[in-house]
Amino acid sequence: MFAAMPSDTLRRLEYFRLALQLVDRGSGHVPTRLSEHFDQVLSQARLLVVDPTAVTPDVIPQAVHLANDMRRGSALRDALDGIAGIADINPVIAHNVLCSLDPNFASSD
Amino acid sequence: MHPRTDLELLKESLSDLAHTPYFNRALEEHTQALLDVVEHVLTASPSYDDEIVRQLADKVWTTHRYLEGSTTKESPYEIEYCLRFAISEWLTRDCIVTTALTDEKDFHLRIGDPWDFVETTLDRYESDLPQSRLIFIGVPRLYKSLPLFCCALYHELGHFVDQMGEVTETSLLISPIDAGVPEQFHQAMESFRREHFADLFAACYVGSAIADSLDAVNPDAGMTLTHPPTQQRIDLIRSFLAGETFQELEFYQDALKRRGLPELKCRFDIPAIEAAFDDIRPHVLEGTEQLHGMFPAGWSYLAKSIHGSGAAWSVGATRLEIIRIVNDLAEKSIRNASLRQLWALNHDA
Amino acid sequence: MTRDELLERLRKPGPAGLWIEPLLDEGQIGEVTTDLRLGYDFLVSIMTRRPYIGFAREDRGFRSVTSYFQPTRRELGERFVLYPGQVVLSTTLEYVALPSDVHADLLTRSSYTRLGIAVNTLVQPGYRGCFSVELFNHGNNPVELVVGAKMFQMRLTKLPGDLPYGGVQRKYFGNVRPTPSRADEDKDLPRLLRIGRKR
Repeated sequence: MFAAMPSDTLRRLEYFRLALQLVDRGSGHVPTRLSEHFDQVLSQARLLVVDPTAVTPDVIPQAVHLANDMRRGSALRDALDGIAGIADINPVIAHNVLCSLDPNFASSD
Repeated sequence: MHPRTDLELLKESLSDLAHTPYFNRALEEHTQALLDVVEHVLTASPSYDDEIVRQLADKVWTTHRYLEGSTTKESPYEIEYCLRFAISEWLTRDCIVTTALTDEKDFHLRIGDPWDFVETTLDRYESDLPQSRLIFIGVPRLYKSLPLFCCALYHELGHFVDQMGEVTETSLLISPIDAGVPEQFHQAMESFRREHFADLFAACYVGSAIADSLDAVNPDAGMTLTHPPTQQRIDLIRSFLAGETFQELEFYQDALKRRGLPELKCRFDIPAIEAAFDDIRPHVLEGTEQLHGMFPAGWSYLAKSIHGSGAAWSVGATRLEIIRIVNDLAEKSIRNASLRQLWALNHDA
Repeated sequence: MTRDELLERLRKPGPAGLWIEPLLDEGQIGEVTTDLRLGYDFLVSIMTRRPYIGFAREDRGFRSVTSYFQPTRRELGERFVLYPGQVVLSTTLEYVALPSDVHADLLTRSSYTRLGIAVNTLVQPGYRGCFSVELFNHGNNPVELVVGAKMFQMRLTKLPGDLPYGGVQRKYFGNVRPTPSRADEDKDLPRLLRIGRKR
C-alpha cells in the first residue's frame, strides 16, 4: 500500500527515450509528432536548466523532468551538448544519451 | 512473447469483450477504438518499428486487463464516485473511471488508455480517438466492501496528479535537495518528496483518515529507499491539517502555482455521523465536501467503537463485525448520496 | 399504519423513528403502503458440481453456501435479467430503520407478481438494513428488471408494545447488500444431525 511505482518513473520520459531508442536501433524514421515532442522537450529543458524559475503552465511536464536530470548529471548534459533536436542525433549519440538518462531504480520493497 | 503475437491475442480477447453486455457506452467506445488501433498496427504497411509495436502492446495489455476487470460487475462504485469528484478538480479532460479488483495488497490509479501514445507515435493512424480518458483504479479484492480502507486511493491520485503535472519535479527544479546532503541519498530524498506530496494531497480530501490508514498499515515502518518513515509522514500530515506552514508545503504550493494547478488545501467537511451510525443507519451526506469527509469521520467512529467507547450495538461485537458494520454504513451513506444526485440530475423533462 | 402516522414518525430520532434512506420520491408513501425500489446488488445462484446445498459442516465436500452464489453489482437505471427458475438474492434500494413497535411486510407490487415474481417477507420491529429480497421467476419468460424500479410495497403494522430487535447477534444485521443463507449456522443443526445419525 502507498508504494511508489518504479515502472511509472521510467515512463515519465518515455516519448523522449522512445525517440532516442528508434535512432539507436537504426530506424530510418522517427514519427513526426514524436520528433516534435523530442525537440520541444529538449529546448524547454535547456531553458529551465539556465533559469528554473521559467516554469509556467505551458511548459511540457517532461521538460521539467529532463531539466532536473540534466542538472543532476553532467554525463547527460555532455551527451546532449550541441544537439538542437532529434535531427542532430545519430545512433552513437542516441546510445550515449540513453545511457546517461537516469532510470531512477526503486528499491525492491 | 513477440509483440505482434501479443497484439493478435489481445485483439481476439478484445473482440470478445466488445460484445459483453456489461460495458457502458463509454467503455464500449474505448474498446472499439482499441480494436481499431490494434488492427491498424497489425496491418500497416510498411509496418511500424518493433519498438513502437512493443510499447503499444504493453499498453494495450494493461488496458485490456482493466477492461476485463470491469466486466466482473463487482466494482466498488462508491469509491469511484468519491474519486471522480476529486479527479475533476485536477484534470480538465473528461475521464471515465473504472475499477479492477486485484489480488495484490496495493492500490493504484493510472491512465489506462494508450491514446497519447497512439497520437504521438502512430503517424499513419487517421481515425478519431475517444475524447475522454480512461482512468483505472486497482483495489484489493478483500477491501471491495470496505471503503474506509480505500482512502489510500487518494494518495495514489496524488501521485497521478504529481506525474501528470510534474509537481514535485518542479519543486526539485526550484528548490533542489540541499547540497549538503550526500549524493547517494538524493534519490531517496526526491522519492520522499513525492511521497509527502501524495500524503498531503490525500489529506486535502480525507483529512486525518490518511494518517490513520498509514498508522494501521505499519506504524513503525522505518525509512526505505523510496518511503519516509511512517511517523514522519503522519507528523507532516497532522501539521498540514493543523494549518501550520513548513518548508516542504511551500515548495509544493509554489510548484502547483507555477504549473497552473490548484493549491493544496482542505477540501472536506466532517459530517456528524454519530447519531445515524449509533442508530445503525447511514448518514445523509450533504455535498461533495462531506462525501470526502466521510472517510475521516468513519475512521474516527471506527476507532471509538473498536476501543470500547462506541454505541450500544458495538458492545459484545467482535472487531471484524464492527469494521464491517461501520464500513457498510459508510458505503451506504456514500451510495445514497450518489443515488440522490443521479435522481435529481435526471428528472423528467 | 396510515400515511399520516408514518409521516409523523419519518426521520424522528429515537426508537419510535422510521427512516427510509434514500427516499427518492415522497410520492412513494401511499395511504396504506410505501413503495420500495429494487436495489443494485445481486447474488445470483449458480450451478456447481455438488448435487445439493448441504448444511452438515462435518460432511466431506461441505461447501459454504456463499459458494453457490455469484455477486454482481449494477448502477441505478441499469438492468438485470431474471431467468425462469432462477433464485437471485437482492435487497431494496432503501435502507430502512423500523421503529421498535412496528413490523413490516414486504411484498412485490402487483405489476411484478403478474409477471411471475412474488416476494413476501416479514421484517421484525427495530430492523436496520436494506430489506433482503429473494427473487424467483415463476414465469416462463426471462424478465428484465431495472435497478431503482418500484418493485415492492412495504406495509407497516404497529404493535401494542416495543420489541427489542437485538444487535450483532442477529443473523442479518445492518445489511446493505444481499447475504446468502446462514441456515448452516443454525445452532440446533449439530444436535439434529446427531439424532439423525443415531437412527
